[in-house]
Amino acid sequence: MDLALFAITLLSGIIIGKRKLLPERIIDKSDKLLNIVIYTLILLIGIEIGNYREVLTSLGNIGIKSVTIALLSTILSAHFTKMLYERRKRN
Amino acid sequence: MNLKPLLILTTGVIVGYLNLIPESLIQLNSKAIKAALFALFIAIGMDMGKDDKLWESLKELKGSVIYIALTGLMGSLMGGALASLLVNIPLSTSVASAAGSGYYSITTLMLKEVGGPEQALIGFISNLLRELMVIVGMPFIAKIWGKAGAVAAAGATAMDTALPFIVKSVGKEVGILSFASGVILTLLVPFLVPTLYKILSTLLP
Repeated sequence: MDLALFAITLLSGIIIGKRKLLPERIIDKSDKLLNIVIYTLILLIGIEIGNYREVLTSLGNIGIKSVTIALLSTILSAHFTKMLYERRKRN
Repeated sequence: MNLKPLLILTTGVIVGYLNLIPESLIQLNSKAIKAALFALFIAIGMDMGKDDKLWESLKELKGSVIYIALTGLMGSLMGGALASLLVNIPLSTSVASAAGSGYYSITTLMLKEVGGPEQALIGFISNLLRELMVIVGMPFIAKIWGKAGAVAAAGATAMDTALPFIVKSVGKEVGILSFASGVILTLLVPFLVPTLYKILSTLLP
């Protein structure tokens, strides 16, 4: 459900930008707008995390395991993709 | 490196932890996040729409989307398996958590269903951390692993929370590629996490 809404929102933005449906002054500032929204979002996500007290206080044993999973899955994901992507491009 | 995101996030965590905001407002927070995400999408869309060069580069990227999403997922699974060996986590919990690809809400729910509270907690923290690492570390990730690697590292978050950071570090031309890759993973995660957990916990109890 959210997924469809996100796709529609993104598409609306693209159409607004492409067809210049809003005043040029506003469209030209879309990157500044982007920064403001990004930082608002980070603040809100932070508040949400801060509210999960159990998670913040039990960051012992489970924490170490989770950090390892997060680190290795992120790194191998990036690395494996880069490796195969470059090989594919060369062929 | 831009430290602003980390500083703002830390401020948010402290505010949330110290209950500086009334309970009634906190309950609005997840709605506010959703509203902010929609605003973000309009802004990203406008930023992409006004750039004509972007549309030419999109044609070149089309075939790459599924490829990047799937190689990224395979890398995640390998990372999960390796983590299981290194820090003594059951393979099922570790690989299923890694398959979550940063989509922590669904991963947590699924692992609670098929596993238990501890599995759910590991799934939650590891995927939340993945999202945070990707957001905070994106300039670094993009420098080492390039655009494909950056999109892969972001996993399912490449379509929403990590999207602006990827666009900022790698360039506007990956916006659509990133979104599409994130969508593919977001659709796969709800099925993959419980399936992998069940298969692996049956094979290796």
